[in-house]
This record gives sequence, C-alpha cells and structure tokens, in this order.
Amino acid sequence: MSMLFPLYFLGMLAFGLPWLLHRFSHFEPPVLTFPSKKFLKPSKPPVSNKKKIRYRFLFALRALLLAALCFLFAQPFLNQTTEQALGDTTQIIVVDNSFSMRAGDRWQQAINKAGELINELPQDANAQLFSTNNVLTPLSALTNNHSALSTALNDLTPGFHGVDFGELMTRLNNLANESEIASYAQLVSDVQVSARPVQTNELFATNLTGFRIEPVTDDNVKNVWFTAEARSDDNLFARVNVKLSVANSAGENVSESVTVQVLLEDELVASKTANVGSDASVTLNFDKLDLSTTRNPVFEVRLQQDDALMEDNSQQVPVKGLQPIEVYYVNENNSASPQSEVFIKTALESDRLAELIDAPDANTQIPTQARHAIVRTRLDRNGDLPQWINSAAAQGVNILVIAQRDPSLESRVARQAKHLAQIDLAHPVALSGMNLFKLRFYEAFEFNANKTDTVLIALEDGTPLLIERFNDGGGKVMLLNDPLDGFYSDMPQHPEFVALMQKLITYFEANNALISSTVVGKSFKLPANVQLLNPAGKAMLKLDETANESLVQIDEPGLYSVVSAQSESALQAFTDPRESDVLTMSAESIAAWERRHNDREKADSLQTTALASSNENSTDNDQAKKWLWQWLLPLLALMLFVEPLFANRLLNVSRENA
Amino acid sequence: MNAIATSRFLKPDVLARLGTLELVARTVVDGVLVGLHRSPDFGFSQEFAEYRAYNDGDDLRHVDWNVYARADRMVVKRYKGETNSAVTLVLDVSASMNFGSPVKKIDQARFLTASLAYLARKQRDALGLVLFDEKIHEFIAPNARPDSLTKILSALESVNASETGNGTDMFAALSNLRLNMDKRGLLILVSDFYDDIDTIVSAIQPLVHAGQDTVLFHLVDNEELSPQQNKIVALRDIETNEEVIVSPEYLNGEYKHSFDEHRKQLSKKCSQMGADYIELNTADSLDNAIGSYLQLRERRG
Repeated sequence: MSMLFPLYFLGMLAFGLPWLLHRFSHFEPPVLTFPSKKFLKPSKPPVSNKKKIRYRFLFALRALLLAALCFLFAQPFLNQTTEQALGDTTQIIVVDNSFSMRAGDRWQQAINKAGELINELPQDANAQLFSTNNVLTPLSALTNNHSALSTALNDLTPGFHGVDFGELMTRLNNLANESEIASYAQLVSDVQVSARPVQTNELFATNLTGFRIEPVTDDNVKNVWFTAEARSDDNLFARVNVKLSVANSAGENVSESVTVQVLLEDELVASKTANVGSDASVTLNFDKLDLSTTRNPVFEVRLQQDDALMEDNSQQVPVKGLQPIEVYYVNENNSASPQSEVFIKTALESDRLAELIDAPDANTQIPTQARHAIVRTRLDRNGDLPQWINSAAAQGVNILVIAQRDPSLESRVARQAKHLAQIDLAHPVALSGMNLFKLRFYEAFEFNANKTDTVLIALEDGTPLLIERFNDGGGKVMLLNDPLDGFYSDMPQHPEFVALMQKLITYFEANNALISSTVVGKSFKLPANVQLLNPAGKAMLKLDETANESLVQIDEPGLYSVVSAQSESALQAFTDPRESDVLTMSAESIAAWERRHNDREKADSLQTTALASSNENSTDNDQAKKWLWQWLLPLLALMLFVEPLFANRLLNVSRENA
Repeated sequence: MNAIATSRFLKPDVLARLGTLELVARTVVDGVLVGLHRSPDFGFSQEFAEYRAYNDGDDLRHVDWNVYARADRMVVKRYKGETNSAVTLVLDVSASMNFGSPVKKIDQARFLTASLAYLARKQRDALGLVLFDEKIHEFIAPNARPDSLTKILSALESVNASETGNGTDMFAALSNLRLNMDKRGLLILVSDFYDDIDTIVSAIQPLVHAGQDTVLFHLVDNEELSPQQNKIVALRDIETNEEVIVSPEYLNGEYKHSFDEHRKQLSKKCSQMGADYIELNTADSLDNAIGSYLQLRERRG
C-alpha cells in the first residue's frame, strides 16, 4: 500500500487527545436515594486520574476514527495489475519551443534529445509529438509510425512565445483525461524558473500515468534584456527609459557591463554604459533626444554586446504622448458666442490633452476623418438631435453636443441661481473627484431627457445638465445643457469645468483607444474596422476579420501598425521578459516535479518498463491504483455514527429536560 | 401444606397486593396461631388466679366470703386479666420510611401495625394510634369501642410518607405523647430509628418508667443492611435531599459496621430499659414478626 500524501500521518499525533481524555476524565456518579445520611461519610472525590485507560472500547473507536481520518487524507492506494495497466500506454513527447530555447545551443540539444526519445520508443508503441510554448500544439497524429514523429520534429523551430509550465501541465492533464488509455508524458525543455507557475500544485497532472523531464542543460550562459519606453511632452524632445536586467542559467550572481545605444532613423543619438547585476535591475534615462529632425519618431534601442539571446537585444520604441487628441469643433450657423469657444478651447488644450480643430465648413457638419467632435447646435425641449449628428455618431464619431437654444423657444423657468443636486458618480466619466456642487446656474432651460438617456448631472429642480444618449454600436453622444457663455451659469469660469471637459474627451478617447504595446504570444482585442500591419507593412487580418472586433495574437517581436479609418498608431510587440531570464531549475526541483507523478520506488523501473518493453507496461497509473478511500469513507461515516452512540451510553450523556 | 400456603400469603409483596389494610390484618392474624397474651396486671375476668390475704383498704367486694365462712380468714380473690389492656401503636411516618424493596418500610410498617391492631382488637384491647415524624401528626387515644379498629385502619390507610418529607425527632414526638398517656398499657413503636441512640433512649425511657410495656419494631431494608453498589455513587438523603458521594468499599466496610453497631446498641439499650426490640426486614414475612412478638409477650407473662 502506498500513500499519496504520507505527511498527513502526522495527524496521528492527535491520538494524544483521546488518550489523555480517557485517562483524566471527570466522572459524575449516579445519584441514588437513601433513607438517611446518618451513617454515611463522603468518600474520596470521584474525579479520577487513574493511570489506566477508561472506556477502552470507546477509546479504541475514537483512535480508529482518527486513524481512518489520517488515512483518508493520506490517500492510500494499492498498486494492482489490471488489464488496463498492462495495456498500451500513450507516449506523449513534448518539445519546448519557447523563446528561451534559442539561448546558446539549447535548441539543438532539445532536437537531439527529442530524437533520442523517439528512437527509444518501444516498437509499435503509440506516440504523439507536441510542441509547447503558450499553447500545446500537436505536431503529429497519435501513431506507431515513429518516422512520422521524426519528420515532424525536424520541421519544428523555436518561436518567440513564452511558456508557462502550469498551463502546460493543465493541458497535458486534459489530454490524458480525454485519452482512454494511460498516458505517459516526457518533456524536453530548458525548464526555466521564470516559467514556473505561482501555485506549485499546478505542476501536478493527476491524469498522467507518469511524467518525466528531459532537461536541456547548457553551460553557464548569460543573457541581458531590457524594457524601453519613449515619451515626449512637447513634440520637440523625447525621453527614453531603459530598464536593464541580466541572468545566467546557473543562477549565479553575475555583473555585466552593458552598453545601450539609442538610434533614431539608423543614426546613433545616445549611448550609455552601465554595470548590471543579476541581483537588481538598472534603469538608464536618455533625456533631451531631439525629435525635430524626424518625421517618424521611433527609436531603436539596442545592446551593443552579444549574449545568449540576440533576439531580445533590440527593440523599436515609438514615442508616446506626441499627438494630442483631435477634436473637431462644429459651430452650426455660428450660433455660439465667441466666449464659449474660448472657454472650451482653453479647457481642452490644457496640458495638451486635445487639440480643438474648427470644422472646415460649419454647414457640412462633422468631417469624415473626425473621431471626436464638439457640436454647438440648437435643440428643442425634447433634446432631439439633428439627423446629421445621429449619422456621424452612427459612423463611430464621439460627439459632445452643447445646447444652443433658439431664444424664441426658450422658457426661462428660473432666475434664482440653482445648484446641482444629482451626480452619477458610478459613470465611467469619473465625476467623483470633482467638486461640482459649488457651481451656480442662473438660467436653466427646460429639457426633457429621453427614456434611454442616462442623466449624469441634474440640477436641483430635476433639469438635466449632462446626459449620455444611448447610441447602439456607434460613437458616444453626450449632451451638455448649458451654452457655456458665462451668463447662464458660472460653470465655465470654474477650474472644475476644465476637468469636466477633459474627462469627457478622455472618456471618448478611451472608447477608441488602440493598444500600443503587447507581448508576443499574448492575445489582445482589436476594435472593428481596424487593420493590423506587420513590421514589413503587410496586412495581417483578412477582410472578414476586420469587420468585427477580433482577438489577435502576434507571433514575432517588432513594431506593428494599427490602422483605422481615422488614425494610425504604432504597436510595439516584444518578447516576454520572463523568457529572457535564462535561469533554469535545479536538479532537485526537477526531481521533485517528477516525483509528484511517479511512485518514488518505481521511478527507475518506470522509465525502463515504459520505454523498453510494451509488454511490461505495469505502471502505477490511476487505473492501476486501487484507491482505498472508497472503503475508508463509509467506514469513517459508520464510526462517526457509532461513536456518539456508545459515548452517550457509556458516559451517561443525556439531553437537557429529556 | 397449609402452613406453606399461609406463609406465602404473608410475604410483604403479596400483602401489598391485597388492597385494604383490614384484609391484610385478617390474613396475617388469622394465618398465625392466635396466641393470647396475658396482661401483666390482674384484672376482672372470670379466670381465677390466686387468693391473697385481705389487707386494709382492699375492696370488700373482692373478698371471698365462702373462704371466710369456712376458714374464718378474709382473703381476696384474684383473676388473670386477659383483655382490656390499652394498646398504643406508635408509627414513624418520616420520609426515611419511604425506602425499601420489595416493599417500602412504611408499607411494611402499616401492615404490621394493622395486623397488631387487629390482633389486639380480637382480644378486646383498647386501641390507640400515634403517627409522628418530627411531631405528632395524628393521635387516637386508646379506646375499647368496637369502631376503634376501623378508625385506626382508616388512619393507617391514609399514611403516605412524603418523599421529600420531614425528618425524625423521636424525642419531641414521644415527649408529647407521654403527657397524653395517663394509663398504663402496651406501647408498640414501629420505626427505622434513624436517630442517635441516646435520643431514642431518652425518648422511650420515660414511657417505660411510666408503666408502658414497650415494644420496638425496628424496620430495616436489605439495601440498608448491606448496600449492593459496585461503583461510586451519590446517595441522596430522602429527608434532607443532601447528597453524599460514597465508594463501594466504604459502604461494605465502615458504613456497614456503623449501621450494625447502631442496631446492636439499640437492642442492648432496649434490653436495659426493659423494652422489647424486634427487628423486621422489609423482605421478611409478617408472621415471623408477629409470632416473635407473641412469644415475647408470652414470656413476659
């Protein structure tokens, strides 16, 4: 009999509790009537501390109960020889082709070792070859034609993706679960420490018959990697931050002198050297990088020295923060006052958040290339928008409508200054950080919100000030019920107005924001009507894929472009930094990982029996284990029932008032 | 055969099923050979006892004038008094009597008292009854009227020792009794005598000195004589509700010795006082007790 978790037998220490209880127990003597106590004298107190165990049967029952509980947790099983155990075992060979396998000669070693495993397979044994990075990819069908496996292996190349051993084991477990016969897996990998899951238990695939790791060892190779970011606040100069790290495969402390070069349009613009240790990262800052000479502000950051992974020594880094958000300003029939335009322009262009662009022709309304627009137009009391605004919103333009009332239709319902009474703090516009209650509104216009409108801000008499109109599938539409000229309210003169306008535009921009950086192999969403161009400028999405929102994954690092009808933005794809960390697991860790799957006493014979002879596949797979908990569980339940039965009788326990 | 059958019917647990005390008394007394006890006093019945020389002051009606005519001597005729003795039955009804098996001591005592009353009534004795615990609960003065037996049996029927009842104060109870007894006679005291020997003696001795011919029936139960406990128990005093935790070793040793000593002392003191002491177990049949009593009376003349 073997135990899966023998440490639970430490729970047997709990025997001490009933042992003590049965030696030192309080005894309540039965009460009998007697004619007189005249001739009676009290004997010794009946609290006994006899050395002998009392109620031995009950003690034995309780000890058995604890033992059964410990056994249950220890999960005992018997290895039995079944037909299934003796039958064929599916051999699964997994080759790690993650990015780190490119380090040194790891990949060549991996190919060689995988080839050896294929050659060592028992004749006629069913086997399947897989590669693993962020997904487990079958390279061949389940076959006993081992030459097909070799062919598939020769076609395999290392990728740029990362690997997570927790996900790998989960997938192997599912694979073994789907298989009707036992599965034995062998992994050829550099077993990086950084690919280990946070939860160690995720490394345990319970459905596998056995698991073995063929580690790809290399000499003490080291690798330097970095992450870089470039930002500009004024379009004239940029700042590049480079965070450097170094590791070696043996886990030793190393210190490396690293020279980082920053290039712009293939010309070296900055270079710095720093000593980087494996114990801490080093950040280099490159300031005042002149952008005036280029029209394509993308820096190339590269390491001058060679190391184990050359592919992560260079990155294309686009400059962020260059372009303010373009917001088109449409003043229909020049109905708005000049003051209000000044207020709006001042608010939006603070901190260069946005740039207010006058529409070429106010009567042609919103330009087709616009992504965001502010429209000044007259509205009726129901707030119905003109058709041209609805059309633009349906095209995906985010529109802020600032109400301009026809004076003949205005109904001045109040001359007394009013305050705000209702603010929807839960809305994504994030109005919670603003103090809007001090604003005063001298004249508020009657305005009836539609049933589908969301009122974000309302005055104390219920008149809505800011609403969001429901617009299914298109851009966002918001209505501001104030002409912003400084006469109807003091809102434009308060700092909160700047914050409010910026929040609204930021909210618009968030709707259309495109991803700017990603890790190779990681899926991300692209909105509809957007095309992804690879570094060579070739479209990566088919026409039908661009029609709807799509989930995209990039397989190689580089600078990609995301192109939409309104704009084009750079997408930086870089390799997973965890893959650049070439530190490998120790032999002890690997052995512990394997041991979770294999019976320790049979570890040696497991390989030989599984690999050498198909006739002797007597492994300790799940099917070959007879789990004893199936018997222990009802026994435990029975004892749990019997124990109080005897305890109540022996110890004379009775219910209150019974 | 007849004796065996009679003995069977006199077992206390069988008597307990007979119903009325009168029937119990009839069964007991009729089952026992009726022995007439003799009065220690000379009375006025027809059975001649002896002649005695006339002394001054003797009643001239008792002078045998025939002897005087023949012998010219004045003698007085004397007779054996068979009946008309005053019998006072004193029954302890304290809570401690509410214990025993197969019948409780109080039941055994009621059977005994009823039987003795029936027996006395058959001899036309005057019958009286006293029920007491810490004080006298009921006192029926000795009376020779025909309905005295009925009254006593009725009083005995109503006896019910309370489980949480009172204790025993024999001295106080019998002291009061002595004040009410102005006639010499037979006093039968039935109790379990859970009191100090000195107290019991001080309570009984004045009665004996006052001319009461006293018989003590000591009711005991086998569980008192030899407790059958094999583990530690808490014994609750019926009278006080106090609990005493005792071990079986103590019950079989020290307690047993103390209780035996109490019985011996009581018997000894009774002998010294001139009172009779008869022990009656709740498991014993009543014919033995009544037989012993009659033999005792016979012996004492």
